[in-house]
Amino acid sequence: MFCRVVATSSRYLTLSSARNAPRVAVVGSGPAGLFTCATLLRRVPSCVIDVFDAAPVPFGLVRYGVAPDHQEVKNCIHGFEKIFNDHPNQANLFCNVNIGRDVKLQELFDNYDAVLLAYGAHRPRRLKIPGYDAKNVISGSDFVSWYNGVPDTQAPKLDGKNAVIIGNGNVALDCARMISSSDNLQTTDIPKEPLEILSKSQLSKITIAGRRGPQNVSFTIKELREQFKVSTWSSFVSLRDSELEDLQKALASGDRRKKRLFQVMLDNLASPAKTRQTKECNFVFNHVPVSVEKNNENFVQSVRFNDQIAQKEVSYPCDLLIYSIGYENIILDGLPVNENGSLKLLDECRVDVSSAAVFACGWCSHGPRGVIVDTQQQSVAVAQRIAEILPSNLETKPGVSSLLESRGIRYISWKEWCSIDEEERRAGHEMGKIREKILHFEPILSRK
Amino acid sequence: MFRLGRLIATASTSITLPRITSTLRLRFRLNTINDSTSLRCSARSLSSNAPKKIDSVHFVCGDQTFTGKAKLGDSLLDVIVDNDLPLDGYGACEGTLACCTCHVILSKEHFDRVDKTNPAGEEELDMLDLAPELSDYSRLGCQIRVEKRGWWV
Repeated sequence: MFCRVVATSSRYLTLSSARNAPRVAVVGSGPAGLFTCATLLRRVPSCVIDVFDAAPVPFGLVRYGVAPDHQEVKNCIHGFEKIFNDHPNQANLFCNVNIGRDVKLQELFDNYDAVLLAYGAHRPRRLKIPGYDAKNVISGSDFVSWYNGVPDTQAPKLDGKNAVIIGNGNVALDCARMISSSDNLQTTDIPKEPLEILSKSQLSKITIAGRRGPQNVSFTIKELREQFKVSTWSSFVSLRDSELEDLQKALASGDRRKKRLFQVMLDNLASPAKTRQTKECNFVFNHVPVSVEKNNENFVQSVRFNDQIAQKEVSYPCDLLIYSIGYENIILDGLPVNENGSLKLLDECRVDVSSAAVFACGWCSHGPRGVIVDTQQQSVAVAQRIAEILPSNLETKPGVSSLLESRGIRYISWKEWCSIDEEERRAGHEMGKIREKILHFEPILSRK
Repeated sequence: MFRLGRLIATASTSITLPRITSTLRLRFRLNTINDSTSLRCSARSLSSNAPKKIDSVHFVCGDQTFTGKAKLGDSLLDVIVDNDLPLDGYGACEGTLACCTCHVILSKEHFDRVDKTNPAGEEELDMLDLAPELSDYSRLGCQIRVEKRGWWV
């Protein structure tokens, strides 16, 4: 869903077409797209930028990925707002516009001086083991989308006792933290439906299973530490002797980051002191998922793993299975693909398209890795590259607003987003929280 | 991917001290996306005869220099934001220790001085662990302040 792009308001476009300004299309209104816009507007003060997003509202994973208890991370939105508020005739937002379906990529190539792809990346890699189609088996990405209020997501059932989370990255940690610390979410921007389900959760045991060893985790330290700080749950790391040895060895030879991360794990090994609460979150390693067992209603009942240390199969009772085992690339139709199935780039950011100046930034350019600082830094570099190739004093390209109008594409502009934003904040204020996200946009989209 | 290089110190309040400007260098590498940013700070003082309460802070980013005014108590992040310096995305979380976009690398001298009075806490260290080009003298700009005697604290 993050690959959808947005369209904008023709009023702005008409205004901006009056000048001889280079026009840039940005596909995706998440951090990669908007950080690049900010820098680009600095470097090329005359440029006009049309930002498209497939979602009805902007900001990509900042709105729909960052966990609700990490509100501070969302402060970057203030910078994004500045882009549109300070450049009302230059920065245009077109949400609810799907590039590829509503507007063809080639149409962007034809109607803009440069096109930036910043549509994020990815759909979750599916867990393809026998029984994976059981009910209440959900990807981490879908779980995150659900608690963040992405439209049309399906709620998981949290009425069982045991959750198993497969994966050793931050998505796994976010899911575990949402399940185990929903008490802290009341005042955040989590929508009331997922909050109600999370707060009524009967889950009392979470097993976070890694396919590889403890030294191979992709957690970041803040998120890992947060799980151990959840006071109402006992969270601990279960290591067998050989795993402990591996981790200690890795700690001794690792850099500062690894050392600090591994130390957090070593400080939280399973012990009587660590298992005082009745609710437990247990990290296990070297568990390769083998199969999902279902009950006669087709709900997940248990998960079998191949325990690489004990060299035998083990079964974990499971009422909710969340897996976060990586992503698959989504390449918009008409874009070149390399031998790995990724977007084919000529260098760090220039896409191998000869007929147009096409660039990529963020997760759609290199896969879903890195945190906001990585995207921010890449954006600055990409903006500079775009600035270098933008023509000057040429006739202004038309953009695609008239196309959108003629096709009857109902897009949401920046101005309209501002009123949605205000409405969400007002509703949230009444409920004693930061905002109450709108989950159903049909009524808004059917206006006009 | 920028590298913030050289932060330099400042003295401004004392009448007896000459004004010293703080210099923060940002080395900006534009052609290599995989390079990351850091801020390297080392002391280089420029003096003038007129003591002032407000110092100029120069941010040098590769071959570009940005200058901003600083007040006592300002963090490096404040200086960049208040002066609207063209470092978009710097301080994305607005100084709440939730990102590391304001990463700076201090010179050893400055790092050691700041470390004595205002060492990085666990939260800052956790964030720094995500910083590209993490160095032993890394700090977050939101945590480094212009001090009374004109030094960054």
